Amino acid sequence: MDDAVENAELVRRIAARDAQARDAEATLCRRFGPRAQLYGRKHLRDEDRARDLAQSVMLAVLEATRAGRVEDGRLIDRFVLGACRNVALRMRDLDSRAEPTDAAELDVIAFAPATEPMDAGALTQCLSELEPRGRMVVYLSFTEGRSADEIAAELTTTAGNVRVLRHRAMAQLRLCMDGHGEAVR
Amino acid sequence: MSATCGLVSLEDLVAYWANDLAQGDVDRLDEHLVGCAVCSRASGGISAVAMGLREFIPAIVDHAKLELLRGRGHRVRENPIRPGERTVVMFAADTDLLVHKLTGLDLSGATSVGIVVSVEETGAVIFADPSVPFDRNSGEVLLVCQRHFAAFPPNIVAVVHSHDAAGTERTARYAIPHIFEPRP
Repeated sequence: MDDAVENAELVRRIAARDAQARDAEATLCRRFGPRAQLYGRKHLRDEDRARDLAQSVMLAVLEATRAGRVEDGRLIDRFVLGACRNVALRMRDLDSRAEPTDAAELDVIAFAPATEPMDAGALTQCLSELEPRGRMVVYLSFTEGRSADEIAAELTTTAGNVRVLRHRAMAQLRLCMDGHGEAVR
Repeated sequence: MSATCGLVSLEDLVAYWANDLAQGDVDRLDEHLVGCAVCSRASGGISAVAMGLREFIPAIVDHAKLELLRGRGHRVRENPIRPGERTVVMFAADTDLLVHKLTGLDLSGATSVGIVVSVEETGAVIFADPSVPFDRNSGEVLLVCQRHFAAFPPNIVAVVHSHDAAGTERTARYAIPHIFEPRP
């Protein structure tokens, strides 16, 4: 877990608008911006919308912090989560992109994306290195969006076994994508 | 794969990205992930793979899947090729998917079909699958070449193995050198 005392100190500096406020804002954005983007990726299922959500969330968090509306800085993560939920709800309600926030409006250093773009060629190669059953399970789970029960019925096994296969295959894929795969050259 | 802080497991994170958790568990994980740097990092790693898989197009498809891909707006070019042929193909700039139709196969009695794709010059295996979709009636296997395959060596050989109920194996070989036209 994060260091709550450190988070509280960041919030205090931003609210005080002292000489270190700008650095504190940048640190807060680097810390929570990628997490907000991941939240958006999970709940909005669209990378562009996830980025919009993260921008809107961090703007709301900074505005509240600057205005001294964050009472307990140790719980800033709860504030961020609340903002994520509200912005996601609003975006779903509108069923359109949220008003993108001009990066300059944040007046802080832009935060790094939650993750680097996926190398499709490497993913293809890493998938080919999985044993066929594991490959089938991750394909049906993530590409076809099938449930563990549906996959279990197709592969004549149990949902529990599908989850084990899925977890192992994803761990192997992640390892491979981290550079453990041998390039075919 | 990055470790978690221990309060949640990697299995939970995989289930989270596979939409295989109850809403209450999703809420609890959301709460934890926003407040935990270690687990957020691990979750980011899994989500990157999950997102990649969501966009993933298999190297071998059946005709129904190919039509689905056309319907999604992919610009598809077809390259019919017969066993034993060696034909240079251009992956044009305005193409998204170049479908090699591996034809000339008698798959009417096939019970399973497998494929091995390797580098022509070295024999290094790029992709192998012992059980792929096939069209029994047309006698075709559809190999979907994608633009990011340019990362692989351009000259490939696809060998298709089919098996029938009696255990008879038939093999067909297709040499397919590629030229990838760069996009402007």
